[in-house]
Amino acid sequence: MHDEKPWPSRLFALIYVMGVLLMVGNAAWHYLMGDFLRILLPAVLALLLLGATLLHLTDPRYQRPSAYLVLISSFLLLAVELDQTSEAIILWIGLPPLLALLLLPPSSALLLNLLLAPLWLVLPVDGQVTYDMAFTYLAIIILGALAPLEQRRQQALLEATDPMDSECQALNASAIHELLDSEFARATLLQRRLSVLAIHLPQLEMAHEQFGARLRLELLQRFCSVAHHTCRAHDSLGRAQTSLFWLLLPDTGETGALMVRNRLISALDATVLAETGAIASRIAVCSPHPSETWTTFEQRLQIKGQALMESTH
Amino acid sequence: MDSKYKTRSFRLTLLFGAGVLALLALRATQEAVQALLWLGALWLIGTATLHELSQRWPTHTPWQLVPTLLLASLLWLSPLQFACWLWAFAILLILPQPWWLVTFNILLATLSWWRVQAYLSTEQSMSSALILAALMLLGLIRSLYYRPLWQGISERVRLMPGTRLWTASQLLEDLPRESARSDREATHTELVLLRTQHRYCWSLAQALSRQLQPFEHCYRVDGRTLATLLTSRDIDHARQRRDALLASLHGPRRTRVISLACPLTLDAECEALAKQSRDLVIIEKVPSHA
Repeated sequence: MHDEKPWPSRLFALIYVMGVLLMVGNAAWHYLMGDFLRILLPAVLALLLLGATLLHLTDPRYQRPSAYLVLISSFLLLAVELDQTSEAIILWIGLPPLLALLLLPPSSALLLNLLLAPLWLVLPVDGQVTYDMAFTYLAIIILGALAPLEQRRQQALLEATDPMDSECQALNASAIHELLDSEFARATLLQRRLSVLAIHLPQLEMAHEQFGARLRLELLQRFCSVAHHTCRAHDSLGRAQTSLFWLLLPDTGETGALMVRNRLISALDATVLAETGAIASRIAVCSPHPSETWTTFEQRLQIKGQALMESTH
Repeated sequence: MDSKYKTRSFRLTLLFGAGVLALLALRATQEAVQALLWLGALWLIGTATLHELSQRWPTHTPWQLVPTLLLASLLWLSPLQFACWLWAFAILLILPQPWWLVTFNILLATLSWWRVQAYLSTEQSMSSALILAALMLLGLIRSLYYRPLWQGISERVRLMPGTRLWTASQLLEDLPRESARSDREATHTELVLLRTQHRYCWSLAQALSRQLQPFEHCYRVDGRTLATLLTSRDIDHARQRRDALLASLHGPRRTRVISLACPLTLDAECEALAKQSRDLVIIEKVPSHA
């Protein structure tokens, strides 16, 4: 999901404009050299790049197609130029893989580079490419991919250590399970009470189908803020399944939990969204019996949640 | 767990890279180039094997310096053979790094370009300079995009996925909360600070995590100091648990135990721990409600 987050669009457009200028410069150079036949390609490609720039600016969703447009135009120009010069080939064949790595996600860039490698190595005329050059080239393809891969790894690590749900202000499923485990252990060891509210939001699925992702997000966020306002600071809200939440109430007996449940229901009733009306909710209270084990309690909680979800259908 | 953090493909690419570098080193004629390539290969292998280690604690060492320096020195020594690596300066810039390192990177790129352009005609050297500048700008923009992520990594609260090991900032958040909670629930909570040597810190953290209850966490205050909040029913239970915990830990260390019923700040306690002459200091105060 985060991979598709738009890059800073204007700065990128700036780079693309620089590319256009380089293409125009190339065309102008050929014009000054009197090499009129070779003007056409860079001129056309400059227009193509301009198109890619506009595409990038209009909608961040088009960043991938526009990146491919940039790659195609610069590869074409480079291939034609390489075909006609005999000088400094080694410098220029390094450019295409690096450009691909900068514009595409690491795995597709690596694949593209490996596929195109023979082409770039064969293209220069009369056996200028030695084994050494081929190995150096291979090395830059592989080593170049390390930097974006490292970035991706860091991102994955951050996501794995982030306990929050990606859509709303609640703990994610693994975090809330872990917390339930620890709160249960605490309640057992310290001989304190514990209650859990299982909350099902029946409108969530319907909101997505009928009104799209925006309403679904709004519904989630409104629910979370209402829930946080209703409960105490040390209670924790987590999203056990897509439309099922758990609210852990440490040091609270069944009666206390029922009070929280009623408060929450009335607060949700008062929260009105324009499209769906008040937020509907189904809430069950679950408290561990004395001498109940962790597994049976969790099973009971799961079954209660399941029953809540099925009763609405 | 491995595939979740994309470590496998990363490690594989690292090893492949090391292999290609070793191959290049075998074929290199210049001795200095050979040495540098071997160095690069060893660094990559080292990174691949010590990978887990770097996940444990967030590091602030500017390791990005290593590839930059290697690249620059290779281009300086043999500009013709490694000319196609010149563009790699742009890709090195996409790694989020401190600003002084970015400047240094740009400086080295300019220097390397200067070295390479001696073999080029004027128009080619000019156009290569322009393209390199554009690419480096592109790399910088990408790093800008990832900068918040990088800062998030160094500030993440949980040090390793799947372990109960947290940062000092999380402890600062948990301290007042646990203290309020133990007041309300009439339980006895105490802060346990353990100071050991750098090399024992990781194993001590693991041993500590094993001994703790599921609701208790281990915090890493700094490179040598670990902390935990021990919650028990009452003061007798606390004594019993603390003794069992301290008896199960091995290795040289200094310990300081302070009941949360006393007013305390983490900084002051850490300082006191560093200065204390005895191996074990326990400050108990019977909570007023007990």
